[in-house]
Amino acid sequence: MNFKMAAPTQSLRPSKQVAFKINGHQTDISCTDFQNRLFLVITQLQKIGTLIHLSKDVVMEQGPTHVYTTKVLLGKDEEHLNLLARRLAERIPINKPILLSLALKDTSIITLKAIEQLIVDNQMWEVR
Amino acid sequence: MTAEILPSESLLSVYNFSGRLKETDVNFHVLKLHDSFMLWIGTEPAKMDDLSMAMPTRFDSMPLGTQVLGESTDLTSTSLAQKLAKKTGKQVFVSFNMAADSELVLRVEERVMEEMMMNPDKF
Repeated sequence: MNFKMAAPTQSLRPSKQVAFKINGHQTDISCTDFQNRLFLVITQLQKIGTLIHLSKDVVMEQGPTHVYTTKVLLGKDEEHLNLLARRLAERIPINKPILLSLALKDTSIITLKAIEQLIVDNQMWEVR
Repeated sequence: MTAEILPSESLLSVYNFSGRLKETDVNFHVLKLHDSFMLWIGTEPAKMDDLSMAMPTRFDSMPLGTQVLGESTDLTSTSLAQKLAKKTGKQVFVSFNMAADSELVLRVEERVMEEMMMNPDKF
């Protein structure tokens, strides 16, 4: 089988990977940009965990207000995951829907806050 | 009280490759995780409208496959995820984002298999 390779520059999908140890737990964060979506993976298990569809809508109610919708597509629907998803939706200044993958060993509030802050400090949505 | 945060080395990795299949430039993006990977397939502009997951189970020789995002009437990504899960023994996510007739789907599958053979450590 002889396949002609397309020019490499066309195939680069912009993405960003960072990693930290949060209270001793390896935490990998990876963000890939697509035209119509952001794919954000946050994992302490090096696996894709619960997949959540996160979208933002603007409604006019005493001025423009953002409304966030979270929907678990795969995995357990857990409150702390929905909470983190909403917090991320508020703090990521991108209007595209986000496909969020969450696999956490440590679901304490201080870890969730740390994850939120790391994503903001590292501007994970800026992949280019 | 705040969490202790230390920098660490990434255990995930990404890999991009492409192929010219039936007069179409097809792009592939792999996110490698532990015993699992996510494979995005599409053309420019790169969209993500579809996602399937498959994983081997003890109960059936055919891996369990499910559509996570996208049209449940199009089984392309689920079928490919199942084939790759069976081949690798890993949990596989496939996102297939282009119009393709059965011949192009076959070429895409062959291109993936070819790349897996040349660069198995990327998956």
